[in-house]
Order: sequence, then structure tokens, then C-alpha cells
Amino acid sequence: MNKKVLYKGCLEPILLKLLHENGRMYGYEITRKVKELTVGELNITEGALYPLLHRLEADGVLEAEMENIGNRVRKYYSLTQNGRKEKVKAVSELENFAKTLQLLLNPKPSF
Amino acid sequence: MLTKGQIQQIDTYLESIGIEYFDFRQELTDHIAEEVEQNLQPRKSVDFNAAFEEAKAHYPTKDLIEQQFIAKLDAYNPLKEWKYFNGKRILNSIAVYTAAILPAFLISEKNLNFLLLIYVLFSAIESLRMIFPFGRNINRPERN
Repeated sequence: MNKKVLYKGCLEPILLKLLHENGRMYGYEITRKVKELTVGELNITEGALYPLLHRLEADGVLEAEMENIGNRVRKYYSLTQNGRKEKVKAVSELENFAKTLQLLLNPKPSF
Repeated sequence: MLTKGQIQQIDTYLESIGIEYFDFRQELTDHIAEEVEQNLQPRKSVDFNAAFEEAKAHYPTKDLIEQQFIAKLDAYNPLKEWKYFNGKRILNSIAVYTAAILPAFLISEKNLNFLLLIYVLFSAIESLRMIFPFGRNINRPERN
């Protein structure tokens, strides 16, 4: 199965966790950080990242602020109060999902 | 750090391929500019144009147009506005308006002015109650 498909549903908790740990981040920084943390295993494309960031911003999970960096404008994202609650929920769901997968892939022998 | 002209070149390129939605283009310009800077850093011999071409290869036009479409949808979806009007809010509004209008039918005509005065006072107090906390929450710049 395509690796991208497997990771697709996990993007939101990963993103929320990153923003929780780093305070505020911008798009390119997020893609680099994920690549660095997963040693190149997971490469978030901007095609998946920006629509997700925009949706979470529209839903009030993230808030954005613009800042002038050199000769360009950069958009930083951070968690809202609602986003912090959402992060706890999303990460917990992902952890449960991982545990369930472990049970399926490595079932304990029954005697 | 890229110059103003180089940033403009990236922005013009994105506009030329159909990225007209400003918010999305601005974000994408920063993304590509950062990648161009990364391409330039380790190999000082590579010039801006070569680094830009290399970055462009990672962003197929078709994908960018598709992202713009999604970005526009997410930025403003009128259906989301309607979610505000849930059953509880509609019932609360009906109850408040009924409670406000009912006394006008129940009291005598000569007392209507008195009722109107109560409504005006109530509205003024409620408005001030909302305005003052709003004013306190605004961060004012410090005076020197």
C-alpha cells in the first residue's frame, strides 16, 4: 500500500502535536520538522499541508498571524484554546489507533 | 536572503500559472522562497534562476491549482455560518423575543411608554456591559 495513504489520516494529530510543542510555526518549517523527526520517512507535501492548515484555521482550531520576514510576508500558525483541547483528543485517538494496529499485527498468543 | 525583485519574480510566476487567490499565493511565495534559499545555501555557485527552477519542479501547476481551489473553499464556506443557528439558539431567541413582546399585549395602553422606557434602559445597560469588557481586552500600545 502507498505510504502516503497510510499517513494521510495521521496528519492532523501530528500537526497539532508539533504546534503544541513548538508554539507557532509556518508551513515550510512544519514540512522540514516532520521530515527531520521521521528521518525522511514522512514527507508532508504542501498539497496536503496547506488545505489542512486552512481548514483548521477556519474551524477555529488554529489561529494565524502574519509577519514580515525580509522582503516577504510569512504566515505563522498556533493553537487556539480550542485547538489545545483538540490536540489532546486527536493525539489520544492516534495512540489508540496505533495500539489497535499493534494488536492486529502482533496478536498475543492465546493458550 | 532573497531580494525584493527575486520575491517578486516568484510571486509573478505563481500569478502567471493561475494562482490568483492572494492569501494562498502569499503563503506559497514564502514556501517556495524558503526552498530557493535552501537550494542556494549549500552550493554558492548556483544562481537564483537555477535554484528557482529546481524549486519549481517540486510544485506542478496542476497540483497548485487544485490546492488553490481547496484553499478558497476552506477560507469561506457559507454553510459553516449556518451551523451557528442550532436548535438551542433558535429556541432561546424565540423565548427571549416572546418574553419581550408579551408584556406589550398584557399591560394597559397608558403604561406602554413606561414599558418602552424599561426596554431602552435594559438595552443601554446590556450594550455597556458588552462594550466595556471588549475595550479592556484590546492591547493598547505603551506610551513613552
